[in-house]
Amino acid sequence: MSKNKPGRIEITAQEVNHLIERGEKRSFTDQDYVIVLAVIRNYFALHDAYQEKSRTILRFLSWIFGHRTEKAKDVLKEAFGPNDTPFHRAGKEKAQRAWPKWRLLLPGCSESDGASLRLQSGGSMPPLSQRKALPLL
Amino acid sequence: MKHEDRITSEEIAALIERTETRALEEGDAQIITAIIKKMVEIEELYNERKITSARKLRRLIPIPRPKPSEENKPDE
Repeated sequence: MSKNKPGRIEITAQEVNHLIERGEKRSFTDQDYVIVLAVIRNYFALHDAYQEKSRTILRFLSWIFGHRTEKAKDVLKEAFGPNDTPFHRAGKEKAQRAWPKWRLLLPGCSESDGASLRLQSGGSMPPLSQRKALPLL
Repeated sequence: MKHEDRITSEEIAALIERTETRALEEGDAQIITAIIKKMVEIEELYNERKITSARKLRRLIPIPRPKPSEENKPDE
């Protein structure tokens, strides 16, 4: 695995449900905040593309959940440049300093109860073909 | 869902900042859980190849602004 590959946070159904439960009780842990930030940032990016009526919104969806995330990232580089969104303007630098290499994975949530959360980074990741990534922006 | 009832990009950006500083406010937890549920929903539909057009995706994305719970409503 390349040293430059970003770390990932893998989320499965059961742990997503636990995360939501902790959110409802307002009792997030430090680890939860990392995941929550990843989810909100990815949603923000989708929402921003939606607001801007961007034609790349579907490609962006594939970038978030698809397999070929690195290639798509290059394709979308211009569409989602560093100065395009209020979020980027407000806090991208700060966010990158705090969590420079995280990615969030939401594996297929076909189980009836949702998914479970598995945090991962670095070399212990399964092959890309088995993963779906929500890249951190 | 009316346009004014939806969460805006500015609100989400502000939420990100508050989450980064661990300074969540009243109602933020509701928005966060709604966002998590929404992303899981979108991912499920994406995996099932049910998002076939940008139009479909656009319909999925908005999240309604949570209403204040009974206990947090201001006195009238």
